[in-house]
Amino acid sequence: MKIAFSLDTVNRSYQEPNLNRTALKFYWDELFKLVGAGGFDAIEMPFSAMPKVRSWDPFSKAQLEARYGGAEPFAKQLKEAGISKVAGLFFTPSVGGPFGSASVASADGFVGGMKNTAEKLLAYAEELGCEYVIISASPEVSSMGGLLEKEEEVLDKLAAAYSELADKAGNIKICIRNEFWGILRGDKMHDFMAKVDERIGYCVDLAHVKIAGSDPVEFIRRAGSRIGCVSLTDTCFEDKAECWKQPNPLFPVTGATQIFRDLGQGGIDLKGVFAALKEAGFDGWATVSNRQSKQVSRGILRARYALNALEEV
Amino acid sequence: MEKNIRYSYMSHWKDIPYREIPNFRDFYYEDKTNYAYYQSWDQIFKYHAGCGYEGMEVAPWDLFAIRTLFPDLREFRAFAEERGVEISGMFHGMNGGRFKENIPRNVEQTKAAVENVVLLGGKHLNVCPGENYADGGLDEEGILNTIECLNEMGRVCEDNGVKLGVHNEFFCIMNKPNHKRIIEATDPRYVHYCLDTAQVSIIGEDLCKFYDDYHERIVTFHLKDTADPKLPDEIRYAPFPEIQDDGHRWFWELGFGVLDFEGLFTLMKKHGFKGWATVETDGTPDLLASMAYTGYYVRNVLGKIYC
Repeated sequence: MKIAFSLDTVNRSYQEPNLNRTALKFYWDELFKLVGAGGFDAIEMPFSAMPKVRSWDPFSKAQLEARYGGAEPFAKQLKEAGISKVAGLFFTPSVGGPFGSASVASADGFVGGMKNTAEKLLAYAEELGCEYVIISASPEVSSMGGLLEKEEEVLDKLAAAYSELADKAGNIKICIRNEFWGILRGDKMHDFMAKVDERIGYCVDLAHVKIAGSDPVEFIRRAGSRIGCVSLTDTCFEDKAECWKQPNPLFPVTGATQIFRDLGQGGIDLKGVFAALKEAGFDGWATVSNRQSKQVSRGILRARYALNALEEV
Repeated sequence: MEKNIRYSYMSHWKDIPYREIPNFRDFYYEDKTNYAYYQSWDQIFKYHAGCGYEGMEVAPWDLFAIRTLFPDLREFRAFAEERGVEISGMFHGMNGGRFKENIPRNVEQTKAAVENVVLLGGKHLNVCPGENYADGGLDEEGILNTIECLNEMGRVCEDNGVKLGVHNEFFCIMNKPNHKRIIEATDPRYVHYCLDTAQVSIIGEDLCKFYDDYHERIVTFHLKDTADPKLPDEIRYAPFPEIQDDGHRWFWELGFGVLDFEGLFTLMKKHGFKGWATVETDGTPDLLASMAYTGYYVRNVLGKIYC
């Protein structure tokens, strides 16, 4: 199993003290060094089809070229920071984007939009030398409006689109993430994956699986050889009030909480997870994903501490 | 004594995820960082009021997240006003108005923006009139189209009781070669000016002279300082100059740069300025510290000259 660290640990949208610094390139230049110093020699990155305004992250092709000189100089910069690879990229399709309207969305429109962006994702992943990409099965169900009434049609079209994407993916593994707020939450994912092209893998995201009410260890056993990648996420959150149905489920209306904890700070049975992955013969990428981290540098070291404790497993 | 200047603070808070946090102590204990202090509008508005700011100016990209919490923007307005803060106005971008065919679209977008400003109770729509200079400057036709577009947009604003304020950016197409002409050629009944003190100075204008010359058109301010007045054209007209790779800041809190704010406030007194002035601290690594510091500065330093 290969370990990477995801840059989704950096919050670029929601306020936190000193958030504005993440717009600056020197922030990212230093972050790569911190990730390398934390003992991670590979990273995962979010993918933005359009550059985020006023932010010099390397998550879009346009910004990579404008600010980092392109893929080759970027790889050199990472190497100097101790990072040998961008292992993977991910993105979550939306229904029309923040300024769109779910009411006008069609299954073809949603799946077509996903496919269009996924093609750009694959092209960017190839340029960066990635081995996997993660595509979320859906955005939050709260944003899907009438599409939920056409769920079967949506899923059939998604399965077909994933096959077409796999034809173009070359050596890049396409993995599907089932967020706890999405249409394939929890164990529902297994039925879907049984119908999907075998070249498509699971992205087993531990916290999402647990919050949706499934046992991550059992989930891994069922996914078995179909596991394409693993997102090592942690959580203490129990969704007793079905916050997965609300708009913006990352911030439950039932009370403020941090849904995702830095690795090792939550309640996921990491020893059980690693043992199950070993049993499944998984030899792909498992990526630390400290989403919503309150202190990114501290989170890197917390994750390293948690992984060190798992070495014997 | 009634004050002439009402101070607003520009929202650079990014998205705020909660209205209020009733379980604040539990939330804090989850990770024991200061993160918990920046997560609700209840807190943010109280910080504004606590630092002496009566207003907040929003940006259009704030509205999606605000509407997630306050589907009716009037609710957001009431929520702010209950905490002693009004929404003074909103920023807005002209979108390709240098091309004739884009004028109708800009008018429609202005209608939508003004509707939001009215729901929020704001008085100003401050408009950046164009793309980055590096994307192509304004030729004669572009200047004339920009003037026409601003007039049309301004008419929509005025009809709804909102003042359109043209807002220069030091790196945008309305710039040193043309910005005075555009101000002078637009219809003063509909098109006003939001004087961003740092942007205009970076372009190369003398701040006090510019205000003195155009005070009749200036209906509001973005007050911020800079240490880089009269920045060379080759830097301003380069691609993506706004955010520098090495973290160099074009904008500073009032008093941290080199601009003559005491001279400006003396002129504001001379011309009897009345209205909202938005203090802006984009670029700060610590919004709350900047808010508290500038709140002190406008009251205790500039307020002695004119308030």
